[in-house]
Amino acid sequence: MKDLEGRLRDALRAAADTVDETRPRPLPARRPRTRPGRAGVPHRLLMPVFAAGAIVLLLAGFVGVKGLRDEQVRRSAQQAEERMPRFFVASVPSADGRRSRLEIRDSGSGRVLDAEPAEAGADFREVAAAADNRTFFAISERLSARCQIAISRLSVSDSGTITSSDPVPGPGVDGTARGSGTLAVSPDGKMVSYGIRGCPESSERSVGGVFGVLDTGTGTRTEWLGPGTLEYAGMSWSGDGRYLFFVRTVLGDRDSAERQELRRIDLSGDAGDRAGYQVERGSTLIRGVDASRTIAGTAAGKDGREVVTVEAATAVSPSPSLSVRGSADAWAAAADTGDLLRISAADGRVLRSRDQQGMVSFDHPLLKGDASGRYLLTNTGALDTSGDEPARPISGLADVFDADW
Amino acid sequence: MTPHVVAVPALTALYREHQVGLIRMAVLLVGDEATAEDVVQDVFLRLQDRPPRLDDEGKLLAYVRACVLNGCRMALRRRRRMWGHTEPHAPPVWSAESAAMLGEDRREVLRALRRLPRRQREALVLRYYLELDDEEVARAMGVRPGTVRSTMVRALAALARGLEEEDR
Repeated sequence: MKDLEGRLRDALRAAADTVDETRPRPLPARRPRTRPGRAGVPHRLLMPVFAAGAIVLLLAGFVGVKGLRDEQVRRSAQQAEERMPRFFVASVPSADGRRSRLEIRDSGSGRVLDAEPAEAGADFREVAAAADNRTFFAISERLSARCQIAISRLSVSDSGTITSSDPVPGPGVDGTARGSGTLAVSPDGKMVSYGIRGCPESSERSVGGVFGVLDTGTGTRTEWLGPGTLEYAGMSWSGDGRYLFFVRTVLGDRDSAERQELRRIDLSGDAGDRAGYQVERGSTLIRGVDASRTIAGTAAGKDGREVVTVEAATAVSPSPSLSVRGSADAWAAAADTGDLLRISAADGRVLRSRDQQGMVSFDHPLLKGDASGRYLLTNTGALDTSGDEPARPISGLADVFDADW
Repeated sequence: MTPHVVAVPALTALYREHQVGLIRMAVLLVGDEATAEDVVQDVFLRLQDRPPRLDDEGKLLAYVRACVLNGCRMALRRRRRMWGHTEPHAPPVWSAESAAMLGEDRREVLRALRRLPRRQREALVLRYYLELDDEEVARAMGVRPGTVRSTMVRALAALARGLEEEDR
């Protein structure tokens, strides 16, 4: 063993001596120190934190972008749904040798985009618009053969050009329609409702007020006859097409309104089911006013649970709002104030009220809602019911007989 | 005694005085001078960056030896990974190229030493080159002195068997 240890020592020393001890081997310069992080934590320790933070930010960004996109889609859909209608249709009476006509106008500027003249010797009266803002209906009346109305349908393109104009199927309707809102169309354009007065010479219709619903596809009509002391006007369909709101006027001496009732009728059933209706029994009374006040039209809400009306004291307006003496001349601007009321259809409760200038004094008050239930077309212009701004005037609106969008 | 940080001048002085001895110890473990120099210089660079905290500066040399020993282990570990793909750039002291310089007998001893397990090889180098006692070898290797003694016995027996095989 001693020999082994000696051999080992000798070999190790000889191998170690191969290292030249004279060769200079200066101590190398110090390397630049690795700079620690701001808080004294090396960067390598922060890397997992940074990586985790990056992943969290990435996920948050993804979720945020997705949420933002969904919100934008939702808002876009909502805005598209609640955008003010692009066009409105207006009926212009004959005057100064010019024939009566239906005009398609731009809602923003009031500019006439296209027009459809009435047949010679006829005047367009009430108009109504379907929810697509491309299908319109109008009542026309022959001046030489009073007491008969015809209902025609007008279709327009996306640019406002009239593409077709045809009478709805079926014979003309005996009666006269002069009151505001005596024509309304269901949102899908398949049904129109009308309120007319019977003809004096007709033994059957001399009874007076007629409330009718017409199928625009087949021409099938359902009418309810009432006494001569009744008138039906201020019609509007709910956005879902189920309910029809209307104003029933009870006339007194010299055709002055003794009482007005805001009513709602459910028209969701088949026409055959409605044949046996009595309008008074089949409809629901929402709100009534006596002779001291007048109800100037209705604009139904989307689901039929609310309706917008304008009410005013008749003392403010010398001329009865439901007078049958309507003419374009009577559409002069006035500053009389009415109450724009949003009313609950269930109990007649006033949900919201605001002043509405220059409307109730017109012989032919205009109150037409759009498909969204947000915008109203009034005598003074376009009114956004979501805010408190006054109606935005629309050029040329004061010169028309009736209008709708 | 409270531990304190060893000053850089003390490290510099230790390097000047013991660099050759440390390099020689490293040569016996890694086999070539270039690698041994790299190991020693890397140890001192690290010690300058992060000076050790010792309660007695007289233990600094033992501390540095332990660092060099550890550096040699890392160098051999890296070499095992690299030599699977390349040949060493310098011939080890136990190779045939070194025979003329060392003599055949010494080369046989070094070849037998090389074939020993790492711990036995380190124990023999520390004891028979540096002439360290069991306590010092244990401190340098990071094991208990009893482990050093048992390791030393097995290492000498293994070395003897290895030399016998060389002689055949």
